[in-house]
Amino acid sequence: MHEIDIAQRIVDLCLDTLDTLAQEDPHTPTSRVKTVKIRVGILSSVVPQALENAFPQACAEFEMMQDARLEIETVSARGQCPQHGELELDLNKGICCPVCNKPILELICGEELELDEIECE
Amino acid sequence: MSQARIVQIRQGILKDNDLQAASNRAYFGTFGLSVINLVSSPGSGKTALLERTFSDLGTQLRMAVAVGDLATENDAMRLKKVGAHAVQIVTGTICHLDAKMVHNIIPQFNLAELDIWFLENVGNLVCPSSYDLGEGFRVGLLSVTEGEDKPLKYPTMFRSLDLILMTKMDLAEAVGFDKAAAYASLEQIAPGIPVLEISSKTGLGMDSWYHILKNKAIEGKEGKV
Repeated sequence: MHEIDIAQRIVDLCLDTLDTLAQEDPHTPTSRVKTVKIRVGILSSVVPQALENAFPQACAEFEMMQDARLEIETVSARGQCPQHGELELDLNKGICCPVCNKPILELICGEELELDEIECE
Repeated sequence: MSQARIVQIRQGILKDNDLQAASNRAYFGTFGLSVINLVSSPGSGKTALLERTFSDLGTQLRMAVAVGDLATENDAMRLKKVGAHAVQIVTGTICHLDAKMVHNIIPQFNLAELDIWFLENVGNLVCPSSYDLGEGFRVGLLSVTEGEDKPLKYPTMFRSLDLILMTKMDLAEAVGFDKAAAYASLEQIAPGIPVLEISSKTGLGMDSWYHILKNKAIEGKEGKV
């Protein structure tokens, strides 16, 4: 449910970026965001589909964002098993080694919630 | 015609929240205030825990609570009845507290006069795990009525906790709670995490909880910056 909040935060970050660009280089105006690329780990508590649904609404009131398309790269969960090394985790089993079922203490990735890049013109 | 360009950002989407949380934490540190974020699914006994805690410990520790819910001031009203200074944060459609909401509610408290400030989060095992509030201690409730495998189903939240309170232990037998299975779930997700078995109704285990709170109050004052 917090995907609405996350979508608004993404829009805020995009608008901040456009502001910064305009200040740094007033002669090259950037007026629209075309694509927003984000990375979402499967353990980040964010549902990509819900975020996609929430995104247009968050963009609606800002002219610069109205054509923006959200591209979500899903990041799988990888962990370090003391016995079996680095492995991709199977969420059907939980946060444990898929080979020996021992708890995974050290996650290598899967918790990301990052704004990667934006394409604008 | 303007030119298309790609701007690398590479930053956390919740960065603003994290910065606000860090600022909250630093501010709490100036008072030596111990701030406890209480999280759980709805109905696992957060408010009942606080009612009992304020009743039993209200004369020994200076405590207050900000309580988040999507609607109603019911929880704050319940807590006021036991003499707590409680302020409701009505979040509307929002399913969690965030660091900004906590920052905004600060003026309604006299934090300098407190030992412990509870933040009773919105009942939800998903979203609140992502939002640091600036707390020093995150406590999760797992009630015996909600299933032994909750930690396995909501690993992100359970991995983020400092302490588990296994609540409603007075109902354990009636609902056929499999305690060993619950501990096995916790061990799988958060090995070594401390667990207290309590009942806010009968008082079981509450002394251990109060002992922790008193220690947190002392640690807070000692850590004053």
